[in-house]
Amino acid sequence: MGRVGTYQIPDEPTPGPFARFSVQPFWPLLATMLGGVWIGWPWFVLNGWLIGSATRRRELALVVGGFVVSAAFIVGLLALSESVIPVKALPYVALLGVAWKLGVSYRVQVDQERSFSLYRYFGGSSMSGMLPVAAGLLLRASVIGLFPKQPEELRVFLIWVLL
Amino acid sequence: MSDETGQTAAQHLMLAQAHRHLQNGNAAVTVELVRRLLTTDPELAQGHALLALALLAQKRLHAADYEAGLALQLDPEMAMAHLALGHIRLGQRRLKEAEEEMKAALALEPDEIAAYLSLSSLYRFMGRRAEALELLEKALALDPSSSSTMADLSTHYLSVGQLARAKSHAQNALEAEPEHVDALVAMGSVLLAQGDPKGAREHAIWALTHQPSHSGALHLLATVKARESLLLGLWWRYNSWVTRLGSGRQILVLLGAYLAYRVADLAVRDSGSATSAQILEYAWLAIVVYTWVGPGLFQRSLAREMDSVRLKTTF
Repeated sequence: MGRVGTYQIPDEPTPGPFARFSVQPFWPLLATMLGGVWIGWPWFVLNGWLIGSATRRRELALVVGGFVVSAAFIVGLLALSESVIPVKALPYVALLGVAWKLGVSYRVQVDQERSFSLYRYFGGSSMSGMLPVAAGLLLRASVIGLFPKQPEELRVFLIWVLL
Repeated sequence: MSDETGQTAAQHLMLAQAHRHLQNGNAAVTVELVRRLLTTDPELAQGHALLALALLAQKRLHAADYEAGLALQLDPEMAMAHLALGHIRLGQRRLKEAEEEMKAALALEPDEIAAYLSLSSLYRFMGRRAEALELLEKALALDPSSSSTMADLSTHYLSVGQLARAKSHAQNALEAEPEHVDALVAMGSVLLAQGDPKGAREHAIWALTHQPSHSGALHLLATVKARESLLLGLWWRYNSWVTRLGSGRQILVLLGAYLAYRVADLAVRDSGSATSAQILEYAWLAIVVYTWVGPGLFQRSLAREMDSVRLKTTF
């Protein structure tokens, strides 16, 4: 980027040698929506490190927190589903988990977009994310197929946390 | 050789040049000029303060906050740094802190017009119009020929619906400085309020020929275009409202809308009405597509407008 030895402004990205494989943060967001968090969230983290995002540590923390809360949510939902939450209400309660994943994804995308804009402004190159998004969408069913069929709760847990 | 602020003549010259670029709307050039200065002298307080203002103009709030903080560490009595921090806090919607910083700037330099105008615009944003007007009148008393003050007075009177006074102040500002960008935008806004979109468009474009990235001029031109097209107008109004919220609240609004749609969809399906559910899903899809393509269509429309007068299209 040609900024070595000059004054560094805190929000400027510090791209690594493989930054050309980065994508606009919109693509990992789309991958999350179409394929699931199993592809979208790690891609966000990777993308952040590729462009040297000024907020890459926060993005990583958001993703890790996202997985942890998702896992806790589904465990709680499974535990309370027969005793406290009526069966009819389950789809509505489950929406909160979907909203959580979307919220984390949007937050990471907004944070990363700032650094990505600066990265592009300073002449950085990136690629299109269409292929990985398409792959995520097509492989989604295959990913579900990898999960063990029994016990049922484990299968539900994995599907919920990773998709 | 340094002056009493510790600056050399060369630094002073470069800071003045950087400041001029910022006033002309070239924040990117200001950032690079100040970067060069700070590379050789990282403890140049005024450099950090000016950099904060330039970063603020580029909407890089986090970095601007950091730089303004550095400037104040190096020189706690620098009015420019307090003013910069005030604007940053306004951008962060921390209004009480913004008021404190701007008042601090005013206390340090009671003759600085920019401090009066900044605090006045903050009060206008907070709805404290009487206090805003009082500050503008003080600024005008300090410098009766200040086009910036007259332009702000025009904006103030427009916001309270006094079109005649607003027009008079805008005209005075333009007589003093015919190419003052804020005055051009103020006059354009008055003309739009008077039902003259053609005049408003001309003034917006005239302002943009001088400063292609002037947010007020872009906003005025976009408002004129929004009135020409119902669909684009709807998107513009939604976008203007959502932008004022800040990124955190924007995400909450989006999530809230999505949850409302999903709950409605589930409830309608549970009630057995598959057709209604499908209609709801198509309506949601239409909203998603509309908000997705709206920005692109709008920008293309603005770019065509600016191309027609041979302006830069990157903004």
